[in-house]
Amino acid sequence: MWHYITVFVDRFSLLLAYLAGASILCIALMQLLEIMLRNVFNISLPFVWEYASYLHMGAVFLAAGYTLRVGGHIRVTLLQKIHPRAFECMATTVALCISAFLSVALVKFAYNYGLSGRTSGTVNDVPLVYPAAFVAFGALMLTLQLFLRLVASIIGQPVELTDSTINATQ
Amino acid sequence: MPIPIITTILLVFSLLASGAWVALSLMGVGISSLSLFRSIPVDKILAQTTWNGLASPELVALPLFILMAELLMRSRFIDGLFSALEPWVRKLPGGLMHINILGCTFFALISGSSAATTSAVGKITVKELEQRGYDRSMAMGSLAGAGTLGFLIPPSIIMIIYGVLSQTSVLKLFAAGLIPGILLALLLMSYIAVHAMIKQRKQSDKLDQQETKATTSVSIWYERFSQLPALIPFFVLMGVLLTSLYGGFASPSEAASIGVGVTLIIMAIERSLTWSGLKAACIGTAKTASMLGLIIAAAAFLSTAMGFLGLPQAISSAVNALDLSPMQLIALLVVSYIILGCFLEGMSLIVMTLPIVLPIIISAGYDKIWFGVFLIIVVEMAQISPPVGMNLYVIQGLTGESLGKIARSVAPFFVLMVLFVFILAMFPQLATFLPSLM
Repeated sequence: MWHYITVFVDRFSLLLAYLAGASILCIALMQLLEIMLRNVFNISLPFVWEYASYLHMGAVFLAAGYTLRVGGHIRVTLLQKIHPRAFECMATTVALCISAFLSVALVKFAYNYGLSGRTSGTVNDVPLVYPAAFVAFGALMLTLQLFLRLVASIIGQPVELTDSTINATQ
Repeated sequence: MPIPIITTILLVFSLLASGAWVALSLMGVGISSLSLFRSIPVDKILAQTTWNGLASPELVALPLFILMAELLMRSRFIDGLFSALEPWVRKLPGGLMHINILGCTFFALISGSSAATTSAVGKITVKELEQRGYDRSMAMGSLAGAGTLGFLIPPSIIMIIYGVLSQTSVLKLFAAGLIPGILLALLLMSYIAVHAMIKQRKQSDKLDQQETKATTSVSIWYERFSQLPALIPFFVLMGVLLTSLYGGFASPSEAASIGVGVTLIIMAIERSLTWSGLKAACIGTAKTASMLGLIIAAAAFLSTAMGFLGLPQAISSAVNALDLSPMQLIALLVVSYIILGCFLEGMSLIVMTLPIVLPIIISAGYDKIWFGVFLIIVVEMAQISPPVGMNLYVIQGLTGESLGKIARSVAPFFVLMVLFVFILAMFPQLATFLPSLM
């Protein structure tokens, strides 16, 4: 059961990380198109800079869970050698509490945007609930990965994906 | 010192020491101290500052420069760089050891990441230098030292972050890093040359002499120029980046997009663009962008929390009460950053200290752009100081050597960087001259 849960969450996190990577590539392509149209045809695409910001914000949070799973987030590990397992449990518990607080704050933030129908107020008038929802969802995935990491460290399972397990996930 | 300030400082150290990830630790410090000492809706402030912290259009350049570096690392660009530079440095005292410095300088001109620069150049040079019998310790030290140029020489990821957090022009910061970057590269090369001349009977110089004797002056010049076409992709990319940035055609993020586009075209021409490579570059970019983005969001929140608690003003008043001269202040900062740099990764160092240090520096009469360059060199030192030095880990991954051995080989280059910081403090024009022309 544990195996199926982690495999499912890992695959979903990987999918979100690909989505984040594709979003960044999409920013580059959108901006290239904008530069070309602006300099050659004197046409500007007013949505590019605004959508680029939302795509970046979304990418940061959507990839957060996978980044944690592959050890991509940085931390201070000076005390790790004293008792690795206790260190892992303590670090993950602290991080889980903070991440849960952040997730709740971002979900409420997106919900309020949805409730008020607030838009960006630019020429594009983007309803802010959409980008805010992606950001909140990414934060929730990070919290879920932290929770699974805590369980894994308590039951003595590997907490991060190795090269071989990353390939298997892909 | 007031209790909220002491508590906040203790929280910073205890949360970081707990092993919780840096971004979450910084958020935790802000959440705890605001909950303890201020009656305000912390969750609303956290969500709003996280949103605002990442919404800056300038910040979009960050993932794009990371994507460019990820793509470049998967191209054949760096192989061409090595073969083109090798004949030019062969006759210098220290020989091919200079390739580490020049390779990193050239790569830094098109990549904004220190770890990417160290890794990309090291992949080629570590093996080559070892095969040719060069001193392994010097090879590791020079690579670690020069790899940090990725942060100083534009474009630079960390300059974008500093620019956004300190509300300074990223374009001017890029210009400010150029002269110090080139001078630091020359300083490192001078050290290698002097070191080689002092140890003339060592193996590397024997090899240099053998290589020198084996090559006539006519053939060396032929070789130098015949290898230059390998640098065409580099000059194209650098030319496009600089022209678009300083020719007024594009903003920093648009220039990064152009850089991504040109890199993809170069990779397609040299047939190194593959679907799996592109996927790997996208995933690598997403990982780094996520790590950096979360830290930036956390820094924005922590900065706001510190503002609510009056921490920057309190520390600023305490430092002002010491009545230090500008040079004493710089010395104090260098020592503090060196100590903090032993425990914190460079990026965390900037975001954590900036809200406190920047007001002190401005009140001491220093320029924000100059301070950006100063801070980046100090962060470079943090990148190569044990036990938490990103570049040391990159080199450990490349060589398999122990961290202690790598740290010892890096020590002379670390000292040179400390020396360079004081040169920069004595001659601030080195950093402020180019931005003043804009």
